[in-house]
Amino acid sequence: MTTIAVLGATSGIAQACLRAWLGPEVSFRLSGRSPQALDRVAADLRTRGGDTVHVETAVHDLTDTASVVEAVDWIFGRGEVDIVLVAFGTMPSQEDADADPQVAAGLLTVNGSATVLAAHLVALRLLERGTGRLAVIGSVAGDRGRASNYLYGSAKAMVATAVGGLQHRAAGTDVRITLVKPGPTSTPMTDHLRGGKLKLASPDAVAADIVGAVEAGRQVVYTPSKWRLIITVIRLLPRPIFERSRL
Amino acid sequence: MRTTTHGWGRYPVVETEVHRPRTYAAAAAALDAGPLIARGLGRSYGDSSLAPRQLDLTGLDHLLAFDPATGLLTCEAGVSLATVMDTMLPRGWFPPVTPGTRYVTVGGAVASDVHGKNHHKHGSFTDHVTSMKVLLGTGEIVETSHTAHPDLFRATCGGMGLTGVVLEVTFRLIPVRSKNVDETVVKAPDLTAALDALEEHDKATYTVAWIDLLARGSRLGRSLVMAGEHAEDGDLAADRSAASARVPFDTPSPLLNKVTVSAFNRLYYARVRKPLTHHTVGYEPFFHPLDAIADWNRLYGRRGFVQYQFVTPLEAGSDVVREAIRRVADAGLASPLAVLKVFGPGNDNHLSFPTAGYTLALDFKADQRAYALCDELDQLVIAAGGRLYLTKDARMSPETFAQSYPRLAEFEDVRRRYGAVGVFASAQSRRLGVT
Ligand SMILES: Cc1cc2nc3c(=O)[nH]c(=O)nc-3n(C[C@H](O)[C@H](O)[C@H](O)COP(=O)(O)OP(=O)(O)OC[C@H]3O[C@@H](n4cnc5c(N)ncnc54)[C@H](O)[C@@H]3O)c2cc1C
Ligand SMILES: NC(=O)c1ccc[n+]([C@@H]2O[C@H](COP(=O)([O-])OP(=O)(O)OC[C@H]3O[C@@H](n4cnc5c(N)ncnc54)[C@H](OP(=O)(O)O)[C@@H]3O)[C@@H](O)[C@H]2O)c1
Repeated sequence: MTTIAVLGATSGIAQACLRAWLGPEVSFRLSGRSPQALDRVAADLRTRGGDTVHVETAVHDLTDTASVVEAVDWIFGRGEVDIVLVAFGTMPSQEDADADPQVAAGLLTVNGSATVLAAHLVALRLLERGTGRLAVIGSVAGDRGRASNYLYGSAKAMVATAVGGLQHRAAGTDVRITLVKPGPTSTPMTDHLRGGKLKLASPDAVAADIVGAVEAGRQVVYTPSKWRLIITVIRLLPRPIFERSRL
Repeated sequence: MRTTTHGWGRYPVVETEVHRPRTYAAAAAALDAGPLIARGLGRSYGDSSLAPRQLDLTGLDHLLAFDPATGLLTCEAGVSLATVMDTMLPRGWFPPVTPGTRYVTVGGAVASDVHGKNHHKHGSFTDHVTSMKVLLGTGEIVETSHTAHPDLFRATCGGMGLTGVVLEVTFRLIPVRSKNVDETVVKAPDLTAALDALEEHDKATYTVAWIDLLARGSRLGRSLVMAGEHAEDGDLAADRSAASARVPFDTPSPLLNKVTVSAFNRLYYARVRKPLTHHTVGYEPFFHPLDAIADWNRLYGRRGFVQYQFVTPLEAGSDVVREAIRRVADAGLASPLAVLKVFGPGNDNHLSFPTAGYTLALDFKADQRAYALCDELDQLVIAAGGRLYLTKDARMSPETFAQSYPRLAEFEDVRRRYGAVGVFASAQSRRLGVT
């Protein structure tokens, strides 16, 4: 039996991962913010998987220390866990963040400190046990600050740095930690961008990469993989050219 | 997001603003901004799913419940039949009706009341639906079935999204023992032989004839007639295969000329050497041969194409079909796909297409000569008491529609009763006078 826990289980990317992980011998522990959405995700997994799939759910709004601690306690309080995916996040528009400092602060908290705290607490538990897998979703947006989304990007950069440190800490143990850096992916977060110029990856393709990377214990996965190259180019763009671009 | 959109025939192309709800409440909220039409996977050929505002249901893709005792599956309307097959076939269940592609949503299958090769035995998709949740123009979400708001049920099944938005569907899967189909192929040298073969095999669960429209004169209606049964061999692993080939760009129209089409059809006909063959094939090649080539609709080039599918009543006899095939063959407007089937009895829905009779489906490249031919065929079909399939149509006139769908007035009454007027309309419905 493999037990998989997810923080932000109703996320589009997380749901695609859960469907890919479905199998005869899996059990899911799902934390999400909206009880109705969580019920649908659980029903979907039970229906797809048949009677053998075990799903437990709990509601957590991961905006402060107490709720993050509570969520991690819930996950590990119900027995052993083999894989944890940290998938929650939020991406309000830069305009909304410009107009309201509360929005800016909220996005920094959820994508940044709450995510890092969650990853840190989960890693401590896994290290204590000496084995397990943790995947944390960062973003290609964390690789270079850009005018259109540097607040979101800076929170994701914080996640990248924290995961790097956790990987360092876990070196030599049987705990494997993966940083996932998706490019633009078709999920509720990007529904407003569909049909536009930006091509969105399918969540199933992204999920296949995540599941593969977790299985292989890889440290960093860009998904779709072409984003590794694209981001390298963006990172290397000389400042005068970069500043004339509209990225 | 504002964008352009089209159906599977890539004609017409219209500007649209797409809303993609992830919850039923979000779907209801989208009504506040004005009239719209539901959209599934866009496999309808013409303008049925097009409007200045589209409600894209594919974000509602959860399976919600399955009862192995009854075979009843409940799911959100944006779930595709491909997903139903991928998830349920390994457990021995299959959709009760499947059209020629599995990339349709359950909502789309309800709205077009789609038929498959088993229509003569098992009717159309909504004959297997027991209940649905529908979002009305008033913003209210109601449960409907043969007993709850039965008028709404009959209008919504086959109602092309014009009564409301189907959010959730419960329908009955059929048990199968294999992913494979035992197929019999009969080589029919002309139309009479094809019709005879269809009749001879009408006990088979699945039957269809592929007609080579380039055979003329004494070979008019030359066909391969296929009959199939679900195999019993216990092999249930789903053909989870994605398309293995893809048409990467819009092929310039001249490529699809008479020569290529002729070659395509001959090849298909010549592949079967004996007059009668039996073999076992996977469900994918049997039901969805075109799904193996992603975006095959691009073969017709930028200007797109139109499908033309009619049904004429059995009483009118097979001569109408013969005449239609003769005119298409004589016009030389090649169509690589001509599919002939004999429908069983229709159902009680207001706008469902199937009625006991002969149905023929053809493709034409979208151009003036093809339209002129379609106009001619319309006359033939109407005179015989037949009708055209809305989900394939991009060009029929409001008069043709009104003449051939006698329950239109009842349908309009239901739309008025349930607050659909002025809220749900497509480019097609506006063309046909349903607003
Ligand atoms: C290769 C191919 C083969 C085909 N073979 C067959 C066949 O054998 N038999 C057959 O019957 N059809 C066939 N079709 C047609 C296809 O089955 C129908 O057009 C089907 O409705 C498409 O489903 P969709 O999800 O793509 O819907 P769309 O094309 O997106 O929409 C079709 C109609 O359904 C409405 N609709 C969609 N979702 C909803 C909803 N949730 N609530 C209310 N209304 C909704 C739309 O408003 C529109 O009027 C074929 C199509 C292709 C491309
Ligand atoms: N989609 C992309 O293009 C893309 C690209 C790079 C990285 N990412 C990252 O991928 C991860 C998954 O996102 P997604 O694309 O799958 O988008 P999504 O579907 O919008 O998922 C985000 C999830 O986070 C949850 N969430 C937001 N705030 C929360 C809070 N305070 N407490 C608890 N849960 C909260 C949301 O819950 P509700 O369902 O209740 O809203 C939602 O389930 C995120 O970290 C995102 O930043 C996405």
